[in-house]
Amino acid sequence: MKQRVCSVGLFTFVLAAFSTFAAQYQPVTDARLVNPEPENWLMYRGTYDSHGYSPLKRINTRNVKRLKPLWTYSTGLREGHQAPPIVNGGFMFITTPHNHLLAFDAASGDLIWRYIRELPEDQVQMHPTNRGVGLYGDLVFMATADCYVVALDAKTGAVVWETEVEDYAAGYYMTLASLVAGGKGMVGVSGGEFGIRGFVMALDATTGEEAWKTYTIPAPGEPGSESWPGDSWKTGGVPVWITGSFDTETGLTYWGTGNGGPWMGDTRDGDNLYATSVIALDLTTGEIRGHHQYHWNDSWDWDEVSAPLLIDFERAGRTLRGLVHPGRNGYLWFLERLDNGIGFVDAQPYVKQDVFTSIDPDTGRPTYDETKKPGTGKGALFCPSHWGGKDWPPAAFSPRTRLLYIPANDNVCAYMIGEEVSYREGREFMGTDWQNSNLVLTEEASDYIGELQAWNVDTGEKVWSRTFASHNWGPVLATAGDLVFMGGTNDRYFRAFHAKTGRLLWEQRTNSGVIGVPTTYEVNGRQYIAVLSGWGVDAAREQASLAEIGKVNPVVPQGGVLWVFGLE
Amino acid sequence: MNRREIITVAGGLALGARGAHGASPERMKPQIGDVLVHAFGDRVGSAISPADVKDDRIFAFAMASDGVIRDGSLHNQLSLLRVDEMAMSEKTRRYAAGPFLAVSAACTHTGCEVSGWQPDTHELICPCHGSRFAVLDAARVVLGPATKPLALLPIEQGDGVIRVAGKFSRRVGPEPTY
Repeated sequence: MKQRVCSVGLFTFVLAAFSTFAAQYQPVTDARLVNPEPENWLMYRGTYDSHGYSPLKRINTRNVKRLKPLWTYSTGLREGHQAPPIVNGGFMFITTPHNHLLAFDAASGDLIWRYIRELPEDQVQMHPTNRGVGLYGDLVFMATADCYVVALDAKTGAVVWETEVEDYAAGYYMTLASLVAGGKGMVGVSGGEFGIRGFVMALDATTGEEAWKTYTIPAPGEPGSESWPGDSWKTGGVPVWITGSFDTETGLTYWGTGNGGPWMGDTRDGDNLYATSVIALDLTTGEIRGHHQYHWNDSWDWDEVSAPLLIDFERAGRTLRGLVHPGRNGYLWFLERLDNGIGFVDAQPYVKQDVFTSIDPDTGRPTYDETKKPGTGKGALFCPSHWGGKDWPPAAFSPRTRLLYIPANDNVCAYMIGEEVSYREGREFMGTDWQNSNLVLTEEASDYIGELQAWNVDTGEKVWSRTFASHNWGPVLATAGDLVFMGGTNDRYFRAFHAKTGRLLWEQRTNSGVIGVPTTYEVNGRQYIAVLSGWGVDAAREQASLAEIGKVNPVVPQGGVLWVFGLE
Repeated sequence: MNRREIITVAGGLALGARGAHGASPERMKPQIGDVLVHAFGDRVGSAISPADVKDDRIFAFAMASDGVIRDGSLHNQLSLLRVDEMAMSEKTRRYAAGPFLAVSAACTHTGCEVSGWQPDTHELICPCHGSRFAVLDAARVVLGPATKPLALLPIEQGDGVIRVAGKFSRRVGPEPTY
């Protein structure tokens, strides 16, 4: 691991607009991260519990129809714009594909500075995107495609330190926003299609020095190592590419983990801990203090990387300290945070799922219909597709409605067959025969594919849903104004729904498809809604795969634009 | 707020992408006269004889005269192919050595290794996002998301080996993003 402290931005291109504004930057403290002011959006999902919920309510169900664009900003870049606009005291930060980082005056839209990461030209960008910044003190952090964490001065964009987390040439890259807690900045690595060995790393947020590193695949002799045959643990994937949640009472961080590699489960016979799981990591030491594997020996590329939402929910008259996860495997999981680990509560499908034949009521372990499990040279048709019931776009939870809002996809299945593959460092290591694999639609796909579902976390029942002809890649924002915001469809709309009923209250057509994480904030008593519109990555890939099987979709132009809305 | 935006360029500005143009000979692009060698497998590092190239694609790197193999970057990796010389477009033939073609293995979409090869359709296929390239027509895009052809490397054969005869036909890998 290389670590470098920089006096100037060594690989930096900074557009700077100096003013007294910069002097007003309010340092981000641990106390502020634990209890963020309602007017700010300091981290990926707003709060450590990953609710994606804001207590702001000046914009609400009664006036949202008057919501108008106030300012926009074109990033000048193509591909997937997914980052939440992070806001601290009037400063806004966004990131883009290829690791540009832009700072704005959140009210006026004036650009304050722009950092452009100099990326190696031979770095493979299988998923050209970035999901935003972390904040601590006067620093702003970005995890980069060439697998560095770079820390910049929030006021000027000057590079303060940068740390190499892993070697990009070996297939490692990063797209997630750092989880910043207790003076540490935590990141995970992508590369589940390149034969990596996944891990979460914590860096000292002030200096960039490594604090701990915890692999998601145990080494021989460590607990769980018996679930990997031979040397498969060395190249078994299990990436972590979405920001974790943090329980401030217990000091445990919760991370979702991705697919095992290669994709076909028969290449790594066993459960493959801790693939497709949630793991609880001690903030101080990185020690694994608990886990729950949603499904064992993954063979469907069902990354379960979304961190669970920390929600206390009711079951049988008791309040449980819960974890809630709408899985890519199509099941909605309710788990419990226990002193000695993670307990299973219940689970049920929220989209058509034909792989699991039962769920053990005590452990949550599924049994499989083996005819639905692809293997090397063994084709299988399964639902939902490898993009799952919900891929990475985060769900949201409103404590006012007690509803969990899931950006779902239904009626898209996949036929997949594996092929032999041998490991070569830094090269693709999927082992999927793409010439003979394809998506398959159910009959109901002509009615809808995309869906926004609302589930009551206390009753475990679906309360309402909105459906869309398009597939849906829209992250969700819930607010105390009883609004739910989401884009995600290929008709380029960004929409607001009534949080209690799902009624469509407002929509705005944008430049591209909205796959960015929406946020909301206030400056000088005015509430804003902000989101990036910039179609790309897997939303575009799924669209291309749907076109291959004859589903006609509108053209979605690429190119990122930041949209900021407010009431007139 | 009344502000005037000015442009400052931080010290050590280096807007060119870093990486493949580094000084080390392993990362240098293939040079004229380099010999093509097996990139992987049992014969890794040994010179490729024209007789080795059949229907299957062979991954190759270039080896300098001092024995250094330029395997330090995916951007140096080649797909060495044997195809029907008469079926090649005129442009394609300019890069070929008889029936042999050397095509960059770096996809012009997001830079993945283009590892798929269908000899019956003469298409190279990227596993990451499914782009297809028509080898006989100067590796043009048959199916996206890639929009630019793969780079061809001019080669020649002689003395039982295949040598680099010139520079890549175009930029290797994706376009720069800024």
